[in-house]
Amino acid sequence: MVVPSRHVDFLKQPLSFWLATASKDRIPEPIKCTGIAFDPLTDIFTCFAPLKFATKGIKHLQENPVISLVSVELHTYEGYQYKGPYLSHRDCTAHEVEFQVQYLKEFTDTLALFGYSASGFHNAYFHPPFVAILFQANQVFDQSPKNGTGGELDKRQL
Amino acid sequence: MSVEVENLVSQLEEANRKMETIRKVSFELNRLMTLPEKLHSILAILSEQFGVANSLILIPDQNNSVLTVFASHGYDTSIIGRQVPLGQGIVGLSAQRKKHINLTGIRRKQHYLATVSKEGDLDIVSPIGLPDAESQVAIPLLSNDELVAVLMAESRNFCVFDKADESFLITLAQPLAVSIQNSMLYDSMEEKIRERTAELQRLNRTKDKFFSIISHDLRGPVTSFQSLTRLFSHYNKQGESEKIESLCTMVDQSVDNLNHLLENLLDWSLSQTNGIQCFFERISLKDFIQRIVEIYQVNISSKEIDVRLVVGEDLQIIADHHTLATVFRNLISNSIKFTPRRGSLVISAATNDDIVLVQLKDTGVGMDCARLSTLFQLQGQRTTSGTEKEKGTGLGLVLVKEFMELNRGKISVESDPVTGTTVTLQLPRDVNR
Amino acid sequence: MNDPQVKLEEIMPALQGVIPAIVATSSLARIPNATYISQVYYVDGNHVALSYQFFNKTIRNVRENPILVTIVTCPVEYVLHKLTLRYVESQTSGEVFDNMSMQLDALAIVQHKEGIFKLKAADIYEVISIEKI
Repeated sequence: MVVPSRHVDFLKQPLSFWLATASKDRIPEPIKCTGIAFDPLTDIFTCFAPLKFATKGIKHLQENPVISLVSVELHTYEGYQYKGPYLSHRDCTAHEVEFQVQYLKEFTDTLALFGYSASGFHNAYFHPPFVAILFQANQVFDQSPKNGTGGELDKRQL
Repeated sequence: MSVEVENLVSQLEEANRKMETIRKVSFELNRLMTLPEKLHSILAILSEQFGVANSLILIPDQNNSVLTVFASHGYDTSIIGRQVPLGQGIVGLSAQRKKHINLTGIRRKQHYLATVSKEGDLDIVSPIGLPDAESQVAIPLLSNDELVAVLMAESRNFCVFDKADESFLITLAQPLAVSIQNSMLYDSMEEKIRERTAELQRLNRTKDKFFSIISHDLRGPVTSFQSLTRLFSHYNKQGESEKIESLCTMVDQSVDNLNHLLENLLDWSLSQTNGIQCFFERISLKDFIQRIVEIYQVNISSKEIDVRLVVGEDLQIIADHHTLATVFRNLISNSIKFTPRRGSLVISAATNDDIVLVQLKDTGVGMDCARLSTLFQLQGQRTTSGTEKEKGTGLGLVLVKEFMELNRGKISVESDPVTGTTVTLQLPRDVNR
Repeated sequence: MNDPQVKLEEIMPALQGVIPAIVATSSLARIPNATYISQVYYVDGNHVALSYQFFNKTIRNVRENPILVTIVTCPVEYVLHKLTLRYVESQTSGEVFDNMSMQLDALAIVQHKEGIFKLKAADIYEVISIEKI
């Protein structure tokens, strides 16, 4: 498994999540995630996103099934990028929608501490229906901003 | 189509509004007023036009090293006088580089920099204005590329100053700079006028004194000449040649006196117009004083005053001959004038490192405290007749003080009506000797 | 969607760096990459600039595949816009570079960290499209 075990707890925080896809013509597409679920046993990420944000990305994944997920902690800017093959996508379950509601609340509350508007962000991101996109991470990169950033995490650091 | 027209209409209205603002601002800026009034007026206009709650104007010092808050709007008054070095903070950097800065989202950006650098403790320079500003714009006000002032506006809200506001403020920057410069000139001109007026008043007083001396103090000796010539004529007719001989002696004395007065007058008028040129040379003190005492030998003898010199043969000083001679002439003639018959005058000199102290101690009538306190002042000067009604112009001591200062020396006087007067002079010694 | 093309001037508040922007790129091998950046800077009606402070995957991708897509958020209305950009060039001098550099300096100086945050270059991008999302 490539994802370090200490990431399990890290990923449970209300981090900022974004997905990225690329078309076969190499056109990239960012997708706002409204929560993720991570299975450390399989390194499979289930990423939730509003369908309206994910439509183009999903099309990309049909022709180029590679996806990246970036997750950043808002106070310390600690961040990682997980890359791997796209597995599948589907509609979110009611439970997963509920999870996203909860995540967004925590996420926007954190943003409010920085002087932003929690409701502003909520209205920007909360757009049902939601989809779940699954991929398996086979690479993990350190995204924390510093010189020499982006380095792939040594598997021995797990 | 109608959306485009709407946009055009709105742009036109905005342009009109800006023109109106410029017109208003120009009118205000052209009014002549002192610097503090000008700065407050500028901030008030900007606050009204831009709805800015917090703004400052800072002025650089002469060395362009530090900015000082001269005017503020929206802060409490303690911010006036606060300083920031050029190059420090958003305001200082804008001033140093003479370029405007417009930042927003400041707190997050500061947090980001602080977090990612992790170089030791977070050591943030206290901002000059709001501690939690989110938006800040700093505009340097330049005139002929010279930094006249810096205008800073800030807010706790995001995105308060958009590009259009920024451009507008930059457009106003130059006329603002020129206007502030005009006020500074106005203030400094007022200051110069005050100084010139004071100088003119001083010169006026000098001129008044001059005329007063000419009209009063010199008339006396001249009138006495008239009496003397009448006496000459009378004694001549009578054939009393001995009396004529004694008259000649009196004339001699009177002429000496008059000469002395005129020399003082000339010296004084020269000193008032800064016409005195000092030439410093080595002077042998004993000989110097001796020669001056000899000028007054007739008066000394006629009043039987005992004059003694206690000055070392080798003692030399560095001084200007002419002005020092005036000092001693006046002091010695004063001593003689105010010492009664058979009194004494002792002139002594002592050294102390590289100065020489000369003392003139007489057994004269002395002065009371009131007289002593106004001794060297032109205003307080009223001529005093000597013990045998000798006349003076009252300029003598004023000159003495001025000339002692020109010779890099000092004078002090002690006196009382019982023991007499002691004048102490301090002069630079010729240490090369 | 038949919205008229959004102009860059209309989304100026989103280009002030108040809310960080997400940037997505793709390598020649079609591997997507996503990263946060502090600010997308306005240059003119058709161009924006991103700051290049240290070499990373985004820079590497853009040098081989010039298309970059970023999503910016307006801090006043909280509206999202997706900008599709094409990398033009890297500037190490000139007005854009100087302004970006000075903004960085103005912030760093307050923390006595002037030497640490140095702008390597201003990467200029042409705006291909702007879409409200």
